[in-house]
Amino acid sequence: MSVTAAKKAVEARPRQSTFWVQGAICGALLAFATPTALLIGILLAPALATAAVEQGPSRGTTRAVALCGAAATLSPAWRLWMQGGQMGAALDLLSDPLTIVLAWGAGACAWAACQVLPAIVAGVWNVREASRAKAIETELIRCREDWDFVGEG
Amino acid sequence: MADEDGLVATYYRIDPSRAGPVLQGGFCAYAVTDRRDPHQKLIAIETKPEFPVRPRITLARSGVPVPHAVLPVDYGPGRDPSGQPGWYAVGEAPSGTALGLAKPLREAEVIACVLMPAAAALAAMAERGLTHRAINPDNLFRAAPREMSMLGPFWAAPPGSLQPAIYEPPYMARCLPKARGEGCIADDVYALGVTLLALVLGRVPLAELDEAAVIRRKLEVGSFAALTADAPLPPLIADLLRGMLAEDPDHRPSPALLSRPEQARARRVAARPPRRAQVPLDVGGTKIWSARELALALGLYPERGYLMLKSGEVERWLRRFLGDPQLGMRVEEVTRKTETAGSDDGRLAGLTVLRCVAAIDPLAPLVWRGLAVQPDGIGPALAGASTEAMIALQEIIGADAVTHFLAAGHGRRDMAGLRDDQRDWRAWLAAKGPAGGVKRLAYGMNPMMACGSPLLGGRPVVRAADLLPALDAAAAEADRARPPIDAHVAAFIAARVDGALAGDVTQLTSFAGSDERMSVLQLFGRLQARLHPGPLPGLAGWLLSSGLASLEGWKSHKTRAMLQDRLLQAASLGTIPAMAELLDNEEARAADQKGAEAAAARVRALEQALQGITDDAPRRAEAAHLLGYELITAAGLVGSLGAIVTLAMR
Repeated sequence: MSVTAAKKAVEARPRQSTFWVQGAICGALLAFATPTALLIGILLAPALATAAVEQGPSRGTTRAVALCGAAATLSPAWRLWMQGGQMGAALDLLSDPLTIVLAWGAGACAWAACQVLPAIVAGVWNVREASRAKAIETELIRCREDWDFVGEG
Repeated sequence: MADEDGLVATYYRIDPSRAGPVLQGGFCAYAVTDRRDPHQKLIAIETKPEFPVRPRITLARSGVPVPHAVLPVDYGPGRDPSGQPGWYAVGEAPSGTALGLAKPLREAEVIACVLMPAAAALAAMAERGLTHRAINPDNLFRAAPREMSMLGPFWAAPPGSLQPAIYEPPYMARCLPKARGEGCIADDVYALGVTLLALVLGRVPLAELDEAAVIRRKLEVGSFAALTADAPLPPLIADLLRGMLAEDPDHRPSPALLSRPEQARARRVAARPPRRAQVPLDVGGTKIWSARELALALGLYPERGYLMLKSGEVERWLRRFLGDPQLGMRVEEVTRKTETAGSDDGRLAGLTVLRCVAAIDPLAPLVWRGLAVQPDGIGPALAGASTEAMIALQEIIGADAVTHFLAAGHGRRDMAGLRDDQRDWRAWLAAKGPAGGVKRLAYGMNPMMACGSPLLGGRPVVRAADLLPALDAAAAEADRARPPIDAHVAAFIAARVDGALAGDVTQLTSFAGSDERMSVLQLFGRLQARLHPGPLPGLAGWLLSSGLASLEGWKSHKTRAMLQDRLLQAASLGTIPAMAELLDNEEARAADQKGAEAAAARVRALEQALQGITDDAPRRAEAAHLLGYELITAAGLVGSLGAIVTLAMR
């Protein structure tokens, strides 16, 4: 089965129970740990925005932005829990511009990398294959110059 | 090949200070000197391609000496004073000039100066199994009046081919001039008899009649009566001529007996005059009175004759009007037997007439479709024959007419060997390919016939050894796009060489195919190795230019370039065997083929790989995209893990 066909098959599959599990977790987090949810929500806003915009089953960009954003969110979230997990502490942390810049910057870098890196990888690969094709063509020309294939099958 | 230094047959130089004799038949003769023995007086006769030299001439130089005859010495290529190449028969120079018929000679002079030396010469020739077959006043030479004459040249043309019909017995005169065959010494005695008569009379007898009329006249009344025609002859001459001009060769005196004229005149053979019919038979508008005339007419008008034989008209005439019931019965039997043998109409008619003619006149020649030949004269007749004659001669061979002719009672013992030769002749004629057919037949039956190929540019080639040098010399002006072999050359090689080489050329079917071209190259290589070990750069270059030494079939361009270089090198050295060996190398060819197969497999694999690279472009783009995402995800994961580890360590 080709890659395109597999992709279409995945796209055709409906979102199932995980969507409701995710919804339940998010709901529980909002209800029982509102300051944490607020902090994580704001710091991971680029990931949420990407998830809302990105189409397709793999959601590679969302995953990358979310993971990079998560790396910059873990430290503020840890500090919030160490300070008792109150709304005031959460707002204090959010009022620190460095925290926001770090989290959103990580997300932005991940998004930018998602736009550039696949093209770079494809470019490198294509250059390599073109070089191989050139070598094959050179050998073919040499073979045809050296041998007479008239009458060969 | 003609010697470039002006020598004829290697040893003889044309001497412009001496004039050559005037010969019959328009043959050019030059006085030559032998560089090994300058005092020997010799002549070189330039032969004509359509008149093959007599193959047995070399026998004349062996055994007992032949007095009073101009004998052959050698033969070979040469150039005339203008530089034109030709094939020459070298022989002793005749003394003086031809006798001719300027004035009547006296009996004593004819006996002493002509008969005696000629009889001695013929006796010696008979002892060697040779015949002269060219005795007439214009071919008798003597240095001065009342000196002994000598028989002139006889070897440069087929036997009897230059003789006016008057000097030949009727059964020889009736034949195509070149198809008169070797004959027997009695035929020379006959010619000598007519010559004596002409010398005594001072004129050619029956000169007022054409050849056909002379033959008819001889058959009607007998040669002696026809030729002498009551002319006043000296008694001794008349008695001798009566025997010498006998119709049956067995009744003529031998040359040895003629050397003793008094004994020869006393020899009487009781020959019955031909039986004459009361009522003539009309065959083709000719009134026939005797059996031998009937045989002549049947041979001349075979279609009409066949109908008359078939209807029984001839048999009835023989029984009723000629009074020869036995001959009538024999003709009826021959006609019936031939018809029951079954055959196609043309062949049946031909064989019926042939057998009946042989039965009616045992001395008659072989007749076929109006043509008359002696069986051993078929070969020379093929040289330069007209289309019509050529067809008839081929039919004679194809229909096995010689065997039928000999079986029909022809009494010539010297022709018994021809029965075996017939098988070869038929095989040559039936052989397919360029080396077979009528050309093969002509060269096979004429060992001294020059190759008639236009590829030789007029160079005379009679011996196999001269073929390659002649082709080498012709290469300069030849059309090199055509191969240096054609049907003439192929048939000539097949006829002149023996053993495996003859087999090789016989197997050739054409000169066009790749295998055939290789076979021709190998053939030339073997010919050079066997016949001419010297260099032949012209011919080798011609073989190369015409594509016979072709590199077709060799797959490797490098090998081809290497072989091309070596071929050019071998061609410039003129070594055709080396060229053939280069191309006919089975081991190298197998290696080349194996290499080509491996290269072809490699090319297929490379083409597939190239196609794979092109076909894989979309999949590669997709995979690169995914890989990019995976790398960033991995970076994010590492960052997250790093943050967790850092927090855990605080």
